[in-house]
Amino acid sequence: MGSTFNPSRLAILAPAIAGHGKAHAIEAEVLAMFDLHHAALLRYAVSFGIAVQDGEDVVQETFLALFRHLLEEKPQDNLRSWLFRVTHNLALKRRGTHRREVSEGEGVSLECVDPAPGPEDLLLFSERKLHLRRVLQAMPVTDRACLQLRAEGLRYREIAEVIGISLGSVAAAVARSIERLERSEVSRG
Amino acid sequence: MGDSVHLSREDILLLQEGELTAAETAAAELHLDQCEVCRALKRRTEQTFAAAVEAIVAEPSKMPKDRRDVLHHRMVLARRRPWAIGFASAAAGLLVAAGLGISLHRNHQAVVPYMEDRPVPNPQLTPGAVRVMALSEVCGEKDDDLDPAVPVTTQQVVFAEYHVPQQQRGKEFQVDYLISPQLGGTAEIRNLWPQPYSTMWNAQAKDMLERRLHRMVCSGTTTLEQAQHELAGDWIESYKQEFKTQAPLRVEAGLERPLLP
Repeated sequence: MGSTFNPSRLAILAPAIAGHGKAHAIEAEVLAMFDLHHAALLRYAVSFGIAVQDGEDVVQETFLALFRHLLEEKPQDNLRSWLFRVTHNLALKRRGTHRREVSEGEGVSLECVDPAPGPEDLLLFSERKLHLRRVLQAMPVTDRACLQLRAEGLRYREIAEVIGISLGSVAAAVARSIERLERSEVSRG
Repeated sequence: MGDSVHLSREDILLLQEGELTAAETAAAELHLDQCEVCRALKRRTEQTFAAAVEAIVAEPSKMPKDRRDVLHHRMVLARRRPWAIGFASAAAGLLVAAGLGISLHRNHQAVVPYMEDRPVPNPQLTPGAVRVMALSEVCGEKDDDLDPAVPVTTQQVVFAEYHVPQQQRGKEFQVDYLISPQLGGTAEIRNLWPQPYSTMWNAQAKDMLERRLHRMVCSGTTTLEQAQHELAGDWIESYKQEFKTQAPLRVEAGLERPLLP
């Protein structure tokens, strides 16, 4: 018996096939964005004082959230800002968990959360860069985050959206950060 | 803005960002044109910002291929089981809220996807997966317990699905087959789970059950399907019934002293 084509089968399968194709396209899009933004998001996550491995976890969860966001056809305008916003929230949450664990479990001072630069850092960064990094690490979270995001190329309006503060507060935070870096440079000689 | 009032650093930043009104922009530009002090402040601001960018956006980090692969696997998995992405965290919230979180480890988030009081994987995360296997194949080869190694990328996906933190992966948990390959289990993610090392019901106890079931299948005492079902369901309960015991035989014999129940 020859096989017969039943059009109703196509009608039943079509949404599933289309859905499958759509999910594939979204996967490809998320991976392309991962290639593009992974480094910047990891830098941003780690700037909150969490370990690189935890930062990698945060970035993974961020992109998985992006996958879900796109699957659910939620707004897609300015996904870069969206990625930084999710990373910001997850990194803060992870830092909170880590600090609780450290303070409850091991009694280690919270000052130990920001690791001192290791031998690799010393090789990678010149003395001036290391100095600037130390000053950056010592800044209040919002000031440092604003400067960091600006350095990553975000506009002030985008930064305001990521952190959840006003445009004026972003400009004031960036100005304070630059002021502080400048003073430290002067005192360093 | 008159000559006597200098621009602040904030004014200069907002000017550069294009965030001042047209009138403010015109006044600020006029002032800058006439004021060396403000021009110097603008130069210093630009120089310091450039140095900060260099310090922040340092060497581009190498693209971690394995991380990209893990993300890809997790998306594929989520596509097949759309509810799975948030399942572990949702389950964690529910169980902790209900006071049912088990205490295999101080980090409850890592273990709540298991059954509430013992290391039996959640069937929704790990339902088990098998391949078609003839009885002659099951019983033809010696059961040497040599499970095929699980690729590292796949292991990372499994750990991530169970929210096992990076620092505990491989140290406190190992990725294990739910249905053993000798009984037809495959290396698919839905047949893999992170088994804790230091619990009473550990891999050695499960291996013992797997060997018992393998012998039973080959002696015709039970079917392959039934053996697979025993492992994919509550394997600890199966162990208790098969060995007529409430604790692993090695523990009862004093050969093991588990750190955790």
